[in-house]
Amino acid sequence: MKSIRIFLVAVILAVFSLYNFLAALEGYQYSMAEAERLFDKQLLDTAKLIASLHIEDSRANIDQNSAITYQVWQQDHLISSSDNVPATAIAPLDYGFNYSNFGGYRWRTVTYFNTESPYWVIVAERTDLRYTLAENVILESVFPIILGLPVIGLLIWLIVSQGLKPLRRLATELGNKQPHDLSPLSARSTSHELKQIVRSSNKLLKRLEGSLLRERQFASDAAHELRTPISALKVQLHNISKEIPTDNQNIRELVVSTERLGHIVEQILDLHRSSPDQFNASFTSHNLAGLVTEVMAQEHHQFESKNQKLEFDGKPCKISGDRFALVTLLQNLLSNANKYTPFGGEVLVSTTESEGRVVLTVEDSGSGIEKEQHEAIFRRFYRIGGDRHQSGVPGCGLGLAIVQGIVELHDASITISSSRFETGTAFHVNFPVDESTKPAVAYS
Amino acid sequence: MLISSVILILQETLEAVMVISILLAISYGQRRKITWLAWGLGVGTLLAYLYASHMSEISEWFDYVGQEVVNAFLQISISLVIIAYAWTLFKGPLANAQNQRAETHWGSGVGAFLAAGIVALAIAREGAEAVLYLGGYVQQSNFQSVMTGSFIGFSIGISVGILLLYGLLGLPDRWHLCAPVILLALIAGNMLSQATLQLTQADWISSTRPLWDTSAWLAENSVTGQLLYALIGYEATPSIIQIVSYIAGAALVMVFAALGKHNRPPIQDGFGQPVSDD
Amino acid sequence: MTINMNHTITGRFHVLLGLVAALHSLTAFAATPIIEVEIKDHLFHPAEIVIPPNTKVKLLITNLDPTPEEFESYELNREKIINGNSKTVVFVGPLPPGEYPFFGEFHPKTAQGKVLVLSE
Repeated sequence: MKSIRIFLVAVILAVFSLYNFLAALEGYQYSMAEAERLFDKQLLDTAKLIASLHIEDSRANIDQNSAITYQVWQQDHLISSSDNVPATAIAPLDYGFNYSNFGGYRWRTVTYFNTESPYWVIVAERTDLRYTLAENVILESVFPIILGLPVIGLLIWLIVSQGLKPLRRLATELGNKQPHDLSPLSARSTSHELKQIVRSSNKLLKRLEGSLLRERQFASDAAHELRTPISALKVQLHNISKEIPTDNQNIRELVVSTERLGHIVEQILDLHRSSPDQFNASFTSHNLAGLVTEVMAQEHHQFESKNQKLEFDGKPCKISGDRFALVTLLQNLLSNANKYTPFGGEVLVSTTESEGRVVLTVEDSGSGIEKEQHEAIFRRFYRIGGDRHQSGVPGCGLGLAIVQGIVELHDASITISSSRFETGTAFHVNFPVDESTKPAVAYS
Repeated sequence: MLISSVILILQETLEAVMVISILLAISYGQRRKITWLAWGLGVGTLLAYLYASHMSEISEWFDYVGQEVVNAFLQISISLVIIAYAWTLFKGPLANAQNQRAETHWGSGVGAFLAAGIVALAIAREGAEAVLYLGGYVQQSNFQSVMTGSFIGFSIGISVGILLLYGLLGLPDRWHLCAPVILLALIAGNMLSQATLQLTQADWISSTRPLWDTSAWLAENSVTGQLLYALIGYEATPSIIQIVSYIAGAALVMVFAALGKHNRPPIQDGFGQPVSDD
Repeated sequence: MTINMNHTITGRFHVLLGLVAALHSLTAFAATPIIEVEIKDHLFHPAEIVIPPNTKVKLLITNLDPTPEEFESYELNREKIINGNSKTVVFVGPLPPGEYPFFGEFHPKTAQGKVLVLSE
């Protein structure tokens, strides 16, 4: 019962051929009985005909392979017969129909007693030939059904396909849905039987959308509300640190933790802002290389403090996007590279343009990411190694989730590979080229 | 010729088709693979051809009763394999919503092997008869009529099989396994009963009078009679030993199915610990 | 001991009373009588086999045709393939008096016959 289509075609074809063939068999048996009755009547008439003739000692010259033969008996005396019979009685000398084997064939016999001149007339007809005649008639009528069977099968297949079209359309619509697309399914032009499914699915989608929205709204509201107390906390810490000795260990750790708390709250807000349903896209054309150098200049101090070499390689290339989002994306990728590359390591940012795509690559000489982790690292709050996270750097596991959101916003894609260094990871963000800024005619 | 071709080929097709439909229903119900069908059909066809081509020699074995002995052997084998199959069927955890594929448990591999065996054995005997029948007509003038009749018989057989398969699949959940097993039990009983008939014909078992005669009520050579013959082994004039062997074969399948169910290996609970068996 | 009776059919009716008598007298020896039947041109020769009641007989069927034939009888519960140009054995009976038709399933229109069980 795996396929509705196969089920329908198989069962309909089975019922069709079962009905037709059983009907044909019924017709066959009826026709055969009817033919038998007719042939028997003919046989008896022939016997009567012979009996009505004046019979003398004679032999009718009938071909050995003939379908008909006769004998005329007077008491135990064979007074007349055709050539193709034995000299003994081919049927009992008793009025009626019978079967008999002689001359290598099976015969239908009729025995007729003539009362006027007292002799028995036996007429026989070969059964194989009389059946052949009747059977050919039946065959003619059954043959079209057999020949038509593949055509009927094909027709049923097409009809079933046509009938299943609304279902296939619905399946395609569902299959083509973007991961974040919770918009209702189109209920128009769907069949009556599928209306309920569409209605239920749409209700479900609506509920899902509502709860997702509430969840995100809650996280962002909470983060937003936390901002003020964290700022206050920072100010208070600053004030306290002036009153006590600067080398106080507790205060230093308190400062670090507060910084981290602030970072997480900012990241949650970024994540919320970059989620597709929240984003108020204001796409304009940007020079990606320009943006990269800009962000690199901002974040330079991070790399200096870890004595890392940060380089850029690329020509100006245009992409269409949201400035704030692109900057956030670059900040996150650079900050990741910085965090997971040891002291004295290298980080290389490059932009290339080929085949209508602009590729931004950020690669480092860090420890690299195992292949099995490649999908997981984009999950929210996911950090490699979980609680035993090794890097010893502040982070909340939201960076790549934010990157992912921004990548989707820009209709781009992100892939991970090994970096060009001995160890390390390369993130490739693949943007579509900004068509609007392209010259209408390409010069060669 | 036409009607006799229909009846003969229908007779040969039905038995194999019934078995295949029932086994397919079980396989689909348990979401198992059906590669066994290809093996069963392939090996069965080969065996049928071999049997048909050596019919003359086989007939002369055991003082001219080799055919009966081989047929009885094939039929007893089918009964035994069905019994073994019924046993493995309930042996592993059942496929259900929680356990989407029963593929992993050991019984499915053995089960597929046994299913292929049942199909191959069923086809071997019936197929040999069909091969000889059609082979005898190849050179004759009424070959077209015979082929037409054979096609009709074959189509009716296949159609019945398709309807049986979807009928079984359409049953309520709790009958999904029960109904096919009951039908398999009937087939095993039928096979055992036919085997005793073959041995009676060979004079290895002494002949006794039929217990009853229902031929006036439903003739064995009617289409309905053939259907019932293939499905439940309808016999208008059965002897006592046929009835006894029929009941014994059917009962053995049910008993072994129940035994397999009873000895089902412990089901793993959610924590990967085996649940205590007793 | 066995007796070998080979019939050649000449007419439609031949009630072999002598045979019946012979078979009947032999049942006391508990030997299985053999009756030979031939298949030629898809016809049974003889088309009628007369056997005594409550006696097991052995039909020795010879197929003289080049094509195979299947001896089948619903009334006798017998079914057996006889390949072309070969012979085989079918045991029949013991049976109560009556008429038991048989036919060649591969050529049922012509290959027809019956076992007549006649009481003495």
